[in-house]
Amino acid sequence: MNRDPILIASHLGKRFPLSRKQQKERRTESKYLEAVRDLSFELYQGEIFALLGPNGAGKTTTLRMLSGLISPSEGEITLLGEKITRKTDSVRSHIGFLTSELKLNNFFTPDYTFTFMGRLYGLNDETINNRKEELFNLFGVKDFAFTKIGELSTGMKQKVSLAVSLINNPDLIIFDEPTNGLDILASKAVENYLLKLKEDGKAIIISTHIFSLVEKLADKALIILNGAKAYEDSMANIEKEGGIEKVFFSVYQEEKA
Amino acid sequence: MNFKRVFAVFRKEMRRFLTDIRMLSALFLPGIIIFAFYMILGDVIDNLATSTTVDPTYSYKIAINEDGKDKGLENALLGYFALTEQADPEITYYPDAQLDEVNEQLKDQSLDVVVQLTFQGDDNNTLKDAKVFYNSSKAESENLYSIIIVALDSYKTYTVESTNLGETSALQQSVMSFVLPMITVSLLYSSVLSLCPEAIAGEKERGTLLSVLCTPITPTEFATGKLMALSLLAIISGSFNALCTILATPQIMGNVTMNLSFGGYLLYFLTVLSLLLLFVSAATLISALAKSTKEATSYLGPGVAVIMIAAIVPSIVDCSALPFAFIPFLNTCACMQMITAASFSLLYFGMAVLTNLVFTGIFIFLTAKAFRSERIMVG
Repeated sequence: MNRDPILIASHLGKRFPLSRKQQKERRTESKYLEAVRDLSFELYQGEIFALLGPNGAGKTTTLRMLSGLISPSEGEITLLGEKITRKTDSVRSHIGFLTSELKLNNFFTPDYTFTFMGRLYGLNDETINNRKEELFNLFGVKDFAFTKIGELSTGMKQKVSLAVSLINNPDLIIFDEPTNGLDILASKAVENYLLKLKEDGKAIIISTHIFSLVEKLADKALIILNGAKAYEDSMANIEKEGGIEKVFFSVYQEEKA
Repeated sequence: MNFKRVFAVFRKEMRRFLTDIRMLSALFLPGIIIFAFYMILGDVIDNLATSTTVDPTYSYKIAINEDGKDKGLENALLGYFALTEQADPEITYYPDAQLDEVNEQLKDQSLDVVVQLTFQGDDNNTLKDAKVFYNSSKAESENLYSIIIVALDSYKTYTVESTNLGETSALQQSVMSFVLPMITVSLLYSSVLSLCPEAIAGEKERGTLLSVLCTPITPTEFATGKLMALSLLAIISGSFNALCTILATPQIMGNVTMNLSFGGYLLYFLTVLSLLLLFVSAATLISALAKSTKEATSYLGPGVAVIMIAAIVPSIVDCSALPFAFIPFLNTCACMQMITAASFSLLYFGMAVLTNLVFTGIFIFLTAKAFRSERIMVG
């Protein structure tokens, strides 16, 4: 397996301009909100990378930059040697992104949604149908493939989102709370599938608050606090330090102090 | 630009709007309602007009002053009623001193008309003055008043023969050229209003836009697909609603016939088309800048009033001079009025359509720019 990093995030920073109203609300004179600063890490093929941090730490902004939804204000991201910005559309065909922010259209069925998204990725009908068969079977979407998404439960919607996010057989998979809203069986299916993807040489980033999931799946973990990297190590070393939960709270307390 | 992706967005939008009963209703119901409402209202007005027609067996009660006796009015009236196969009127004569009393009878509707005639000349046969009293709260009185006025014409030394060869009066035509564009533009705008905020701001609000932006589709491709679908839907809905208006408006105005040739209808349609594209592109831009459907609707909603007011402007101000053709929207309202009034210039029409298309292009350019903006699209 190729051990060159598939993804390199180098000195990432993201600033959002603040309106006068926002400045007043946040009681700051700064014209910018620094959501992420000087964040660097590397990700290899066949590796699962866990991103942890409390709410507002900068995880979502980081994931958005990695998925190419927004461009970094500073630093750069390269995926398979190609720079990711909001303007590099081609690189997005290598990324599968799942976050609770991304919603599916309630008016369509999972079947049509899958076909539509497949077309946006430039896939032909045969490939779309093959992927549909595989992923719908895997996540148990087949039973409600022709029910409007608006009529599905949260868990069912999450299953559809998972299937849609993997439609393009991506090299880099970014999952934000992938087991959110799923039942035990579906959660297990997701975990197993992520491990299978890892075996297939895919690079995976998961952002989650579930420590047990990190311990089960991840090879490396990165903790973000206040927009900056507070900790990064392999799971083997984290285990030696007493596990991810212990490490997270000790890093958090240290930062707070 | 990858046209497969553009077409995928286009197909998705068409499917979204054409398979949703709620959206279909919003697109086509205004025209159907206007058509049904105007037809019913036209019938009601027609019935009201018919109900004021007096029963031919009704015997009119007329009081004429004694000076008017044997001066020809009675014979004229009897002749008229015989000719029109109506019942003979009851004619009574009163002394001038009793005018107030007979007028009281007119007020309590026991009389239909009171006539007071004054004659002069050597033979006292030349009509000097005629006073006709009637009661407008009684249909028979109003009707008889019109007959008396005609009968009194016979005292003149000349007669005027009037013949109307036109199907629509100048007044009706003028009202049509004012009403029709106003209703058409407001219906077109309402079609656009039910499309754009939902299709653009709605996607942002529901988070479905982010899902699309995560794929390799470029913002320009996405905007193009959306605009193509919205324009086609607006054209279908707007043309349908405009057609309903064109067919129904003459009904409400007493079955007026539109004095429009095939070319006139074609020009009217092209004007509507250019205006629709202008509306769609402007509404798409505003919807792209808004964060939610509600916000987009609140920006676009007051436009209905502005548009209706602006649609009246060409009726008040003469906008037929060529420079007006370069003012978008106003030029279209002026064009519609001129086409309806059958007094348009092809140069003005061409310039107006071209101006609308130029502004449409500017709005599309700005919309594509907005779609490329990280702050506007991702937030």
